[in-house]
Amino acid sequence: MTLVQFGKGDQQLTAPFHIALIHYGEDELRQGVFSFLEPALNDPNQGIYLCGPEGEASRFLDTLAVSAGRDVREDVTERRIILGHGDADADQQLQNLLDPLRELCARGFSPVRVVGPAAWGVMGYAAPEDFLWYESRVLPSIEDLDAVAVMCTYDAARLPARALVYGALETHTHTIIDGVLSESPSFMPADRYLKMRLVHLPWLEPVEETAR
Amino acid sequence: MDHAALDLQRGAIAVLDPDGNVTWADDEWAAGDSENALTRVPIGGNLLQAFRAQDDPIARAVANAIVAIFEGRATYFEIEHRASPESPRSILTSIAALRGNGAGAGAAVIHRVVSGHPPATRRPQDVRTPSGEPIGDAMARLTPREREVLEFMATGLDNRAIAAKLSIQYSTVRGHVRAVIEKLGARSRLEAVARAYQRGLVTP
Repeated sequence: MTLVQFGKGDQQLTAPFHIALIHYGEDELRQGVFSFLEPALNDPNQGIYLCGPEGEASRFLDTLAVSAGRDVREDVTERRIILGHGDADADQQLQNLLDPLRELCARGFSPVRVVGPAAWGVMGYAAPEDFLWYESRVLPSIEDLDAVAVMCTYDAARLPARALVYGALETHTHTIIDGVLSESPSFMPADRYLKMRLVHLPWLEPVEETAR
Repeated sequence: MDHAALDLQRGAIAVLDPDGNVTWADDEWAAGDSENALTRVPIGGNLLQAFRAQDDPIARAVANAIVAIFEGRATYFEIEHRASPESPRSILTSIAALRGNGAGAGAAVIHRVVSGHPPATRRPQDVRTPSGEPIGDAMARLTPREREVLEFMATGLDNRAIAAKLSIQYSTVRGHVRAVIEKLGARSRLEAVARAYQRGLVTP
């Protein structure tokens, strides 16, 4: 078990955990993620994994470097900071997440902080229902990695409501909204989420053919 | 064109018809307004190249999606709101711009760009694959091993965990999962599970 501090205030959680940052637009994203990653940017004992659609992690790292006021390329070269990407196959995306996390943990980095944006209906990324399956599998998949802290970012300005409800609120134990960390009362463990939500997603349900 | 293959989420939708055309539909069409809301885009190499060359991630995504359809990796695709609710409109505007830039005569034909409300749902009454085959018949075409993999998929396991359960290679499981998805006419892992679940063929 590893206690993970957040950059501002006295917010902290015990790893492993999987939380959702719900933000509105790019400015809130930068603030929220920087707050989460700042301790790791300045501590060589901590690891970072950034993922997302192709090119997104690299772009985001540049933004972080500006916020941190220092060059982070050496950290990337030394793989203290690892950049990854999503995949159209949700299972592959899960492996893309787990492999670098195991590597960072095995090399002794602690905690290992992860940030990845939610992508809904984006080509090159998993279909929405598979993305939700992926989200629900993150926590059980990292339960043996007690230094891992995962933050998924959900942009309320861009994502549909069902992504925020089914994804951010129901697959994460905690959320950060307007900088405030709180438990998600809607969270469902993966098994229950599969039975109660995933196989009943409205766009997967058969409905009557309507005359046109 | 297989209208039943259209998904029903809000946004732009494109389907490849048997004549090799990609048909764009928007919410108004999906809500049953009229055929006028369709935009037919005969695909040509010039159009794809022009899409790829654009400094526009959405246009490049569209190009990749069209290729995926032609390669049989997808039967349709959709684009939901990304940068703004205007995304579907901007995609079609991009196509129109390509025409103006001489991307190929007849490469794209834009009839109309319409935005609208979330579409009404329309799906076959019975659970069928996009080809119209009843799901039960599709299930019968699964091999015993594929069926076994599907049952594990229905419990939520990832491929590595399934490989461990069955004592087989991870890559082998990936192949089985792809076969299951394809044979059930699903577009995704979860849709395959949901289809089988809806018919009581597996229990999550």
